[in-house]
Amino acid sequence: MKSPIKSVPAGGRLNLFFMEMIIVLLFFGIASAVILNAFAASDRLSRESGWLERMSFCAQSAAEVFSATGSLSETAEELFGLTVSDSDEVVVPLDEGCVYSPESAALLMTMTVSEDKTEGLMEMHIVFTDGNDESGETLYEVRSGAYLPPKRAVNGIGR
Amino acid sequence: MDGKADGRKNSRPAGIGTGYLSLMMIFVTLCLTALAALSFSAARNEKKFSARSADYTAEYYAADLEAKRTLAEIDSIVSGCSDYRDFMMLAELDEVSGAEYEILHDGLAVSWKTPINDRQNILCRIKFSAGEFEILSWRTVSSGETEEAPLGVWLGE
Repeated sequence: MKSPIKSVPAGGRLNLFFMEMIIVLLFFGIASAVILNAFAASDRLSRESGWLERMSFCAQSAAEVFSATGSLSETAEELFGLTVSDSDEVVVPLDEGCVYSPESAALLMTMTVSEDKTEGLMEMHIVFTDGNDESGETLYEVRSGAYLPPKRAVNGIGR
Repeated sequence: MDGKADGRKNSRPAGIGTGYLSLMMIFVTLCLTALAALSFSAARNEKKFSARSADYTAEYYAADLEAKRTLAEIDSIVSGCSDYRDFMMLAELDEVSGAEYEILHDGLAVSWKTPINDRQNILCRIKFSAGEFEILSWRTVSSGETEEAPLGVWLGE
């Protein structure tokens, strides 16, 4: 009995099938390269938005604590458990989840406090930079303030 | 009859026929493209939302700082004065941008608005009494909203 493959004439349908397979594979290769790029871009965007959200929450927490205490050392202690001596600037290494991590700093959170010309008003500048980027490009920044009038009690400044 | 049938059977190609592979590939590629497009679109929307939220946070705290600056300015004017009806003090308050005052029987109420963006403001209202101030209101309001004409929500009364 003859095999069905041998019954196909040489240079006929079999060649056509292989030619189609080659074209299909080529097209599929190109298409999957484009599609994989799209998936990779989605992943990057999603990761970036996660970072941005966490940086925003972290800055918000710092701003609220600073607003209530007016002290950089108390802010650093309350948020990250850091003991900071009297200083105008604190650089906190954070991981991707915005958790204090001195070993692997994916992000650097810099909190700088300056006194305003108005008595009792202090300004805090919070800047997030990429821990792996030496150029120190700013990823996110927030300015907040605290007003603690001298010799006066303030009844809760809130939102 | 059988011989003719066998002949037709033998002339059919072996395995997958020409065209099936293209159809399958088109289907798979379309599915993957749709998934990639949906995933990219969702990620882009999420990024936009996060960026807007983060921008709003930065804008809010910048406005909050500005409002506190105004508070400090008002406090420095009013704290040095024991009589809340003092003409000079009230004239100085008039010069503070956006500040409006109201003389109460037991003190002085001052209110002002600090813009967060073109749609929202921080509405602040403080009351000076017996040399100290108390914050009556420090809240976000939309640009059209005032304390006299708040949003039409039921207040439980």
